[in-house]
Amino acid sequence: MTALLQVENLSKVFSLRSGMFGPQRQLDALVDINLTVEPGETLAIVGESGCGKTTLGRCIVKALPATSGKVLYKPEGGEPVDLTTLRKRQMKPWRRDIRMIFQDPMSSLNPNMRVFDIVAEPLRIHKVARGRALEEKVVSVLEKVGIGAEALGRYPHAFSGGQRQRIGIARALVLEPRLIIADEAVSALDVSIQAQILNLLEDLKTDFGLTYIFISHDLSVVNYIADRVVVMYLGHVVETGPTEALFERPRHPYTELLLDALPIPDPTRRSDRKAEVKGEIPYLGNRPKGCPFVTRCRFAQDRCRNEKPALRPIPGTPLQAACHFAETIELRGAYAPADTRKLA
Amino acid sequence: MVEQGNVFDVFREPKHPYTQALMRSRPALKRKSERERLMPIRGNVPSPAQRPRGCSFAGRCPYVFQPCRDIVPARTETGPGHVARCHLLTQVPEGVEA
Repeated sequence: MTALLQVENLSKVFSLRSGMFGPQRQLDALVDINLTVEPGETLAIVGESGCGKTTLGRCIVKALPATSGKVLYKPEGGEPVDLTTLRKRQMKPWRRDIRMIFQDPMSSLNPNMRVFDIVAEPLRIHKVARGRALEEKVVSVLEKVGIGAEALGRYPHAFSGGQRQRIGIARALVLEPRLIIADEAVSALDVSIQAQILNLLEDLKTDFGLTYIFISHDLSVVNYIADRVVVMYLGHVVETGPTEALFERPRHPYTELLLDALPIPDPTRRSDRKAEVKGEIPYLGNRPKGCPFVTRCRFAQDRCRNEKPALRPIPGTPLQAACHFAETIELRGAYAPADTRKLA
Repeated sequence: MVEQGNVFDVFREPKHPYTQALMRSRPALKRKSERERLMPIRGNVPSPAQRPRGCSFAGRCPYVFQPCRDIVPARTETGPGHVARCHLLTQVPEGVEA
């Protein structure tokens, strides 16, 4: 295995019960997910709210137990380990290597802890450093994310959203991880702060040789930062491939729908929109029998209603898509045609 | 208010450096080969209690020159219905060829 992380046939079922004696129902949040994360790349996971992208991130770090499947992690110079089989204590060393950054820097930092302790806590838990060495590590990592030493004694409320996100990044970075899972890490920030954090993530990636799993619903940001993209719908991977190929000409109608819904900051291109967004994402417990996307797809045929398409490589492209008609349908990409590029 | 106008005019040709900077902060939908590093606006939004005396963007503007910090720029019409407040629209900074 050359990949840093390999997810194999991962499924997550939530059991719901209405009332104490009510019937038990099963909710398939993730269905047979396969993906690989290569060392040094940024892999984006995209999709609408409720498609399972956060659940996937959580299952990878074992914040949620997977129902079945494997999450293989390849440690530096070691053999792959299946994280799903590990007990809490066995998992601990790998928690240093795989860290998370969360969306809301307001609620992901403990309001009762000073910045110094927030960043020092992972070092203490993993007994990496103490005393003077610990102090030096904290100060140096905060400096890397652009927070000065004068901030050490302050509490999170004293900082702006962008600064809080920097503190959250410092906390993830202080253990010198190899893989960072960023769950909507820039979604709550205004455009200028978002740009600062995106630049910071890119610089840190180069400086520390990091690999990112970037979970986001914002496709402009994904286009900017990701090398490869995984598109999820109702707990399935429906399309995956290199960012540019996927944005240039997607092979799954759901990807087209997502790309089409992107606001383009050029009012003269407004009329370019064609495919209107049809319908809403169905309730997970009420998943269609065939293709999960059939209820909203403009190409839907009988076959789609009855037979679930598998994710498969599409000949002549670097993409994989789960659509019976991926070879023949003409889907619209996100980029302006090469000759009419306007507006920087 | 720093700039106001029809969506088409403001997006096609933003006249105020703040508007221009906002546009550059947002990742554009471009192919990898044309991708440019994002240019966030430097500094932070000043506190409303310490509003700058002159142009409110003076402390963060890349083109700041002598009148900016002391004199509030006038509303300047740059096209039909398109107005912006920036000294660059009415003056040329010293040492720069017009």
